[in-house]
This record gives sequence, C-alpha cells and structure tokens, in this order.
Amino acid sequence: MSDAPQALLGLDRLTYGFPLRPDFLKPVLATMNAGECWAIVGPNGAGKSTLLRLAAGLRSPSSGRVLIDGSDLRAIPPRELARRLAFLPQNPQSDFPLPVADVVLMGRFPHRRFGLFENAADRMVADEVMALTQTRQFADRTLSSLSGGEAQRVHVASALAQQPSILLLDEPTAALDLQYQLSIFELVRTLAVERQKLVVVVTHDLNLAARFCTHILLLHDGRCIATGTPADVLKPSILEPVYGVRMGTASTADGTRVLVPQVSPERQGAVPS
Amino acid sequence: MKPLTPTRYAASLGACLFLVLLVVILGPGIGQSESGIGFLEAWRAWLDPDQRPTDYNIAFSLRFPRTLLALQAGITLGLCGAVFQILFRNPLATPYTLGISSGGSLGALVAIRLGLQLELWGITSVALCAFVGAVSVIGLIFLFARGLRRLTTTELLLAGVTMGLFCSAMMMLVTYLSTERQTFDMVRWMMGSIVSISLQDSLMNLPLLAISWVVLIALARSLNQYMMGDEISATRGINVNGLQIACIVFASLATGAIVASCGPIGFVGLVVPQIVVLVLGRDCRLLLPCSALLGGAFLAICDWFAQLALGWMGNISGRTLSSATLPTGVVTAIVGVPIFLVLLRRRAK
Repeated sequence: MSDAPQALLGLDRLTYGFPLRPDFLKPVLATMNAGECWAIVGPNGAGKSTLLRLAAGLRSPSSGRVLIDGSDLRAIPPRELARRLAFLPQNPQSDFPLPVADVVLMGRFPHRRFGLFENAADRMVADEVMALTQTRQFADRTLSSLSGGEAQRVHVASALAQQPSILLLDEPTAALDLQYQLSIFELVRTLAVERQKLVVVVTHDLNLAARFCTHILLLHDGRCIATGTPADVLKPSILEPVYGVRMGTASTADGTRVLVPQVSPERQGAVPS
Repeated sequence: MKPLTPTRYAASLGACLFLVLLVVILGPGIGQSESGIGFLEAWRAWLDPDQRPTDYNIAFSLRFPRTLLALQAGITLGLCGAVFQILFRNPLATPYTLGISSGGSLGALVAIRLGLQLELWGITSVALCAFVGAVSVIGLIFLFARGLRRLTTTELLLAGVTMGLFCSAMMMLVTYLSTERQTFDMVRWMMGSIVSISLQDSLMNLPLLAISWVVLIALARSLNQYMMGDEISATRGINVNGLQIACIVFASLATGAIVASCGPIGFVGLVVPQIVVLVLGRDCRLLLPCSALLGGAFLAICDWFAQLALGWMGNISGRTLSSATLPTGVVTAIVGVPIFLVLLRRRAK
C-alpha cells in the first residue's frame, strides 16, 4: 500500500469466512487505479464473487480493509459510496415491465434524496450513458421485452448513471452470445481507458480478459495466486496447477496470443472421432 | 411503454382522486332504499340540516361515516397489498400474507368467547383484542427472524403462512369451545363488515392510518430500487433490511387496525394492485398511491352493493327479504374473484 496510498480502490489484506469455512478467503492485497480494467479470474468456488462483494461493501471482511481513495469503505455513508462505486450482480432482475429509460434513470437514485422526478441534469446523464451503452433505441420499450444481452447493457447503463469512478461487474457476459460478450468487454475497456474509470470484472473467459483487461487477479481456493498484467499472469505455467488442465497457447492471424486448454490424452481417447 | 413523466403522473393520480371524490359525493345518497333518501335529498339536507333533521341524520350520521370507513379500509388494503407484492416480489402476497388477519381474528374470537365487555377510549374489546392479535403475529415473526443474518422474503413468507395456519387452528379450537350464540357472533365477525356507529367512531383509526399511508407512499422510490434486487439497491445506498422492516411494521399496523374495525375483508389487497400494475405499470411512484385510491373507491362501491343487494334481490323475487346488509367481505369476493381470474388469463396469454 505504501507506494500508492491514494489508490482508487485498495484491498488491504482482506480476509473473509463463511460459517462453515471461517478462513475461506486468505489475505488479498491489491491496488487498483483509475483507468485500469481488472479481471478477477479463477475456477468455480475460488472466491471471485465473494471478493467483488467485499469490494462493493455488500459483505464485511473478517479482517483487513477496503480503501476507496484512501479512506475505509465502512466510514463512507451509503449514499456517498453509491455515487463513487456501482455494482452489478450476475443475472440482475430483468423480468419487470418498466420502461428502459426509467430503469436507467433509477441509477440517479443516490444523487437525489428528495423529489419524485429526476431533473434535466439527471436526464442528460441518463441520455449520455444510454448513448455510450447503445441502449438509446430501447428507451421506450420495457425491460422485460429485451433479450438477455440488451437487458444487460441497460443494467450497465443504469449503473453508469450513478456516475461512479469504480464499476464492479460480476460475470457480465455469462449467458450472452459471442457478439454481446465482445460488445460488453469493448464497453468495459472504453470505460476504463477513455473515461478513466476503474472497472473490475469477474469472468471465466481468460481470453476475453487477456484481450480487454489491463490487469488480472487470479484466485484459487480463496487464495490470491497472482496479480499483474495479462501477459504476466495468464501463462500456462501459472494456470495449469490452478485449473488442473493442460494449457497451450496459439497466435491468431492478427497476432493475438490465445490460451487453448488441452484435452488430456486419456480423455482424448474417450472421445469418439 | 413511455417513461413516467410528471404529466402522466398527475393525470393518472388525478383520475384516481376524481373517482374517490365521486365516491365521497355520492356516498350520502346511497344506502338502504326504504328510507327514500337519494342523492339530491341528502345534499339538500346538508345545506339546511335544521329543516330536514331526519334526512340529514340518515345521510350524514349513518351513511357518510360508513363510506369514510370503507374508504379508509380500502385505501389501507390496496396500498398494503401493493407494498407487500413488491416487498415479497410475489404477486400473490396480500396485506394478510404474514398472518395478520388470522392473528386478528383469533384475538377477536377470544374476546367474543370470553365475553369481554370493557371499552378503552371508545374502542370495543373485540376490536382491541383483534388489533393485539394482529400485531402479536408480526411480533412473533420478528422474534423468529431476529438474529438471522438476513431475512429472505421466502423465509418470511413461509413464517407468515405458518403463523396464519396456527392461528386458524386455534380459531377452530376457540369456536369449538364456544356456545351457539358466540359461534354465530364469531362467524359474523370473520365475514368482515363495515359498520360504524358515528362519524367520530369512523375517524378513530385515521391518525395511525394516515401516518402509515404517508410513510409507505414516501418509500416508493426506495421500493423501485428494491425491485432491482437486494444487491443493486444496497449498493445504491438503500438499507435493505431497514426498508423491509419499515414496510412490514407500517403495513402491518395499518392492516391490523383495519382488521380490528372491519374484520378480514379479502380481495381488495390482492385484486386492486394487480389492476393498477396491468393498467399503469409497476413503477411504485404510481403503483402505491393509485392502488391506495382505487382500493378505497373499490371497497366503498362494494359496500354500497353490500347494502343494496338484498333489497334488489327482494325486488326481483317479489319477496321481501330482510333489510339487513350483506357482509362486505362477501361482496368483495363476488366482485373480486371474476376480475382477478380475467386478469390472470390476460397475463398468461
């Protein structure tokens, strides 16, 4: 922590336990800055979502602190925190008949304590984030009438309407097709690099993470195995023991290096050709 | 669907307010017919009470308080129904979901069985015991939920339904141990009826009800966020547990007061919010006040039918039926069930 005390989001020796697993999350130390896009990766049950919820203040760490701009998250009033940090869970509720424009405007909630209606400034913010997320064309449709990928973009727009400097997304591309996966990750990258926000994404897709994120945090069984750039962390030598799968790499035509899980010889034999 | 604008908000709310106003204006003119006092006679008497004391008494000492009580009960049940449907994220949730009506009924039955006759500030012992019973159920549920890390809506629902079943069993026990006369009173009470003795009597609950209405409607924007899920609303600065507790406490107190004075009147809290959702959408800023106002108008109109139905049936059959009124709960069921089934079909299409 000493090298960057004013990090936008600092995870300061965070630990967390469940009633049946009191020492589940081993101390996690990370320093995340504006303009960075972090991917939290790891196998199922590694603690990715738990870590993201700790960072969002939805759970209290057993020990350690979450630092936002250098101050302890627990000391920040909830509404002020909501103006600095937005969180989007996996599979947010989408099956209710509210107009998309109103769903996006609901993201302005932390900015307005009184009054039934958002003002012109709120509507300008909503309009801008809808343009950014390419959801403007759905404005008059209801949320429940949209496809999964469209609804997810509306939820991202709603989170952005909070005007947070930190955006935490839990598996935003789960259950989306290739095109929407790419569009979400392109958006995430834009937000980080062009809008100078800090975006933290939990994902299972190592290649998307490598391609669009600037930093990787690799978790395995509640332990932080590595943090660093994709090139440093997403190497077969580090990933193989974590996932228990042999990894190869390949290069695509445009020079992008991709990870390719290898089918082990005994399994290969079982697959009818 | 267009986003909610102040214009659409004002128009929708204005339409509902107009309906309530209409009920208030027509109220003094509607009641059992043999008195022969209609709408015009009622308001003529209001202009000049000294000249027409009988007309004035019938219109404004008997009918008007009853309309006011029906309005209050309907507003409370419609509003609390909408709040509970959002709170439990379940369209079947009603103001009685947490067992308030069973708790209240048990209290009332015990009072009838014991033949309690005391009165406190003009509140009968039956009403008092009903209120205590309704609130005790909620108290027990909170006791059950206390210390749990987070109370999910499913667990709360199950706890409420279980408490309701328990109270129903106890009601059977109390009924079983009662005399015929007491059993008759009990069955009558459980049908739910709007009976008020005086204007003062009908306004007794109003302070408690009005506070609950204001608090619940003021929570509309928070409940909108709550619809998006616990985690999203929590990271937008909402104290989710606090919101749930505030809704349950105020909705339960208000519903308890209504159960105490009118008995368990069903279907208003179930049907009215469904209609509002279908017509106006699920934005709580509109859903809550409109469910309240429409609930009030719905119950007041049902209560008119309750007063007039036997007279009409007498006219049709050519026989003079008793001049008694039907229990209001019977009419809300007769009117509410078909509406609800039609809505269900439309929703399922």
